[in-house]
Amino acid sequence: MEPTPEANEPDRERLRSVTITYAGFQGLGVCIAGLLIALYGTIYLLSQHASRLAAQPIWFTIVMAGMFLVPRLVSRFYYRPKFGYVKALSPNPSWRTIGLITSAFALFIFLMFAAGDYASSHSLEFAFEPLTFLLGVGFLAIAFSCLGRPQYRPYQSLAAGVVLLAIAFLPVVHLQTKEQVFNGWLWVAFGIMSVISGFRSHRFLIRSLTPNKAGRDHA
Amino acid sequence: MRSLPEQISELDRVIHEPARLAILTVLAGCDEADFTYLLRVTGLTNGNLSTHLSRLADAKLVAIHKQFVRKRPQTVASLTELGRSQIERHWRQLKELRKQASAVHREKVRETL
Repeated sequence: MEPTPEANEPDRERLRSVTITYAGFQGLGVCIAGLLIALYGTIYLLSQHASRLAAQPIWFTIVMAGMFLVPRLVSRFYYRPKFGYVKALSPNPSWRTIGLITSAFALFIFLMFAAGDYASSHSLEFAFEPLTFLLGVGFLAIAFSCLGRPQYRPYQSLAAGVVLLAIAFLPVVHLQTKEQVFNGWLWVAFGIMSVISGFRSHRFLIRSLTPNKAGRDHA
Repeated sequence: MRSLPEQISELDRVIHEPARLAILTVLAGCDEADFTYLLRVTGLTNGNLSTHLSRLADAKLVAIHKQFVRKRPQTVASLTELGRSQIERHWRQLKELRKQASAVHREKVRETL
């Protein structure tokens, strides 16, 4: 006989992680937004008039708007009627945390500007694509900071970092130009990463939340 | 140090019932959640969930807010401050009990060997 939920002590970690994931990362919307981003990069790479496409601000605006709108629309019209509504726990950071995050962000912006100034004043030309390289290093740093903490899984960040670094070095071996990496491959990589992480999150939610027709009369 | 039976008897019966403990644990992971989500995540039936929510509201551990969204009723539940502190305390107590119980078990195994 299948045990009823009342018969067992609830699994605290499962309930908490499902609720936190559902409140913060409803994967299907991210998955669709990822397809949109990957499509933008693919069109750039395949189009004969690629530079014209990249120069069209309307396409860029549509993709950016899609990144924000699609997850919200999917949340409202798919997740909420099917699985219900959850409001994420309001963060209550200490002043020390706020100060640290603000300082780190300000330092990052300063370093970006300083590096940009230095590169332009010394006419430095990188053989690799610098932004993709920096993002790759950032993902690797996140992955390594997660090592030794069992509650975080670094594999996804590790894979993303390695892929971005590989893409950043495509111009070095003359397989692609820096413009193709920046306007095409970077978008394709981010799109595919979003699709994978969104799909995994969606599958986790689908498996964790039981179908219950009793709740269909509620909003 | 208090004995295991003493500590077990100190557990709050309103919270310790598994279905209510599940509801409180879910609500501790968010600001608020509606009836449909609580049904989905706990796997309880409509009537059971309703009864347990009322019991928790009577104990002032949960606040319940009812409204209409697109002409359909929506029941939203959230933990009160008392509820949040009580559920954290309860999980700490359970962890402590588990630790002591496994120590007693290890001691018994050693004795039999």
